[in-house]
Amino acid sequence: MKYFILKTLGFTIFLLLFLEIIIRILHFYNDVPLRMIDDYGNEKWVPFQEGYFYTGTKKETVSKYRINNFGFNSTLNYSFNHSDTTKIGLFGDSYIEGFNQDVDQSIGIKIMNKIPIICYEFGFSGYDFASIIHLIETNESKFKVLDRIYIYLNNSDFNRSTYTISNHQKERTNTLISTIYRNFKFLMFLNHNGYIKTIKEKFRFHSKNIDKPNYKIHNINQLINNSHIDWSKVIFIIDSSEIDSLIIQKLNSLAKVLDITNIFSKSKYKTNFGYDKHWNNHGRSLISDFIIRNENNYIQY
Amino acid sequence: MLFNSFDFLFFLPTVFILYWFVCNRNLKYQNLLLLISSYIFYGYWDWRFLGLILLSTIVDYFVGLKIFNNAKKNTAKKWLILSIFFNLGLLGFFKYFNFFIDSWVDLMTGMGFPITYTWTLNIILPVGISFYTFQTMSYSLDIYNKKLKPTKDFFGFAAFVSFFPQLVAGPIERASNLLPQILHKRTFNYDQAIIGMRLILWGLFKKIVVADSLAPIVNDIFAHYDQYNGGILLLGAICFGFQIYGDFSGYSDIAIGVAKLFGIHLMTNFNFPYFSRNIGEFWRRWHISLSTWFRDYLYIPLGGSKVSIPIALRNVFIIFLVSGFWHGANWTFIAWGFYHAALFIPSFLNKKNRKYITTNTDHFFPDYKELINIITTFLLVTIGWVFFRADNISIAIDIIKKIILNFDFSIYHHPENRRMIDYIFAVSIMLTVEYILHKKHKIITYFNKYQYLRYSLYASLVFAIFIASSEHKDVSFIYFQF
Repeated sequence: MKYFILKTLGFTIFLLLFLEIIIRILHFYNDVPLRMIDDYGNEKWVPFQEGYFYTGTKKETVSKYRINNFGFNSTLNYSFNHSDTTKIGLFGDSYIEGFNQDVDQSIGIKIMNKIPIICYEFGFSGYDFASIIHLIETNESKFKVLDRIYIYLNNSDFNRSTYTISNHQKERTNTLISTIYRNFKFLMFLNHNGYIKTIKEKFRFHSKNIDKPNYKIHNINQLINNSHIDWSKVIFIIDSSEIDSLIIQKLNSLAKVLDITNIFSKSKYKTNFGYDKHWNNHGRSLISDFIIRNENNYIQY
Repeated sequence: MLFNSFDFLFFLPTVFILYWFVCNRNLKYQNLLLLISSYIFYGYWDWRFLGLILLSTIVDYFVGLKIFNNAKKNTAKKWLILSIFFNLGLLGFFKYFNFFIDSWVDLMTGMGFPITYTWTLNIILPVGISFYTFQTMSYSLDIYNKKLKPTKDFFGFAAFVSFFPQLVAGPIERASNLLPQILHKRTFNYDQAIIGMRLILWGLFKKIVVADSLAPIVNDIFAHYDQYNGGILLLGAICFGFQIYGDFSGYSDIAIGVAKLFGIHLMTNFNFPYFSRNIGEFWRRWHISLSTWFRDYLYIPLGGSKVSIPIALRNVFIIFLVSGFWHGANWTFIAWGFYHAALFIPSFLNKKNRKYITTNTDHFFPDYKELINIITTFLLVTIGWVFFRADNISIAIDIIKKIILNFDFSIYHHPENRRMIDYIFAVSIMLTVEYILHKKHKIITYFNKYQYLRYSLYASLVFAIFIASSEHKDVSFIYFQF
């Protein structure tokens, strides 16, 4: 028995080493950029990082990213200059961030290639409505130049009534923890493929209210009551097939709402990767065309 | 609880440590631990159905004693009938009630007497009911046939009925094999434990890397069978063949491996069936615990093959039809059983059904005749899987028609846009390893000799499991529904 346990432990150590080496050799991990929390408490990427991101468990897609001077994935460095050119801001989570696609094929670039405007992209994995409101409010002076603010939201973005930086967010921006994490590629592999999340969820308490529309509407009310955003500039982008109608009504009462459901459901081609629910190149083209059609209502050529 | 879940990853080492380090001095404590662990394992799915296992345990425990204590054959027989009625009644109610009602309504409607009001119930099928009811029945039958003496140790008997590695999907153990092991002190055997660990790893590979990965392809092709040509439908049937083999034999390997960790030897359930050279050999290698159960408790009591040819043919049909029906309350399973009976009959009449009893290990690669036999048997079995997988018989017939009449080589795109080559690679690895084991090739000795070569292979399998598992987490086993 003693020998069996020792041998099992020995094999476990060998296994960890083997997996670490093979994951490094085959590059089955992501060069996820370093995170930071800025002076206003916004979580962002540390500026000026470049690398490759893979999508799919078997590296089905490899894409290039570039973090700009403002901490977001974009080929543009943001200057927020006052000029006559129309400027729009695109806010959202990983769907807007677009690590799954080369950065020079981002939604913003696709828009700018077709119409003469400047598109600032503020997508960040894990951003919800509270994070976006906080980002806009704390950068009010810079974002004044934006003519319109597009916010992409989905059903899971309304689970908070106030914005706070969680311990988890603090931990992952901590240099020491981050360095340790980055040096264990097997750990990065486990994290990227959802194993760590699965284990965490086993021990996490879930609020029973989290899926109730009224709970989400309460959160939206709390967030907008405490904000000073100019809602006339805001345009929400949603998929009505995935958001409760009561929430859509609430968003409609606040600002203009654009629904992408039809353009996606009528598409002849797949709009996501299949093995990953994020939009593929075609999906991004549909979104950018959708925004362009809306912008054409405002722009005078 | 699933073998391929995180919960089991914590559950197994905990039970193992308690079993060998805390309860090891007392057999009763060990059995009690096995019983409690088994109930937790089963209760994880739905604790309400634990009552059924307990009831089945109590009934057969007392029936076993009654059969043994009654010297009169007639009275003993009555007790045996009670056990059979109870277990089959349990199975009939939970598994077949709605099927019988629906079939009755269809029959009456077909005869011109439409029935508008039906009495079907919204019944949940308890996981593994077909397995543990057969296991408890074997206990009463073995006592009746004087092959076994009943036990008075209730907890030991309850641990035998609910032994968690094989509770929900077999192997269906005979009381004469498993019960004595439960009732006698076990000692830890290093070699057996290592074999057990290897079986667990290989079972997980077959389940996660092969079966679960092929599932989206199979589901897509069978769901949209009307949109695909015969070539792709054949691909779907072949993929299902590998899926069900990976799933079920993977489960059996894990179950046997886990049992070995607890010092218990379970019977082999699969013996490389896809390398069979005729249907008779296939059935000696596929789901062995079920086919031998039916052989011993149904086929032989009916007279087996040592009767007139018409009666023997009847017996063959009965055993195949019942075997099909055991799998589920659907005519597709009966058709599957009938199809296999029809395949088996010619070799049975020519007395060639026992032609291939042993594996030919003289040469590694098969000669052309052996190869043709293996491929033909595999294709025939694959056509049978269409009945097994299709939602109803008319769909199964449509699919087979298209495979024969509308065959075309065309490219199939994975429903999740994944690379198809990855799945071909996974299946090839499974077949290569199993073929080497099947032929007992000398390469096995190299692996036994060089530890780092062996460890690297194991670690590669773990890596493949990690990769495949992140695509489809905690996928249930197909045979849980039976």
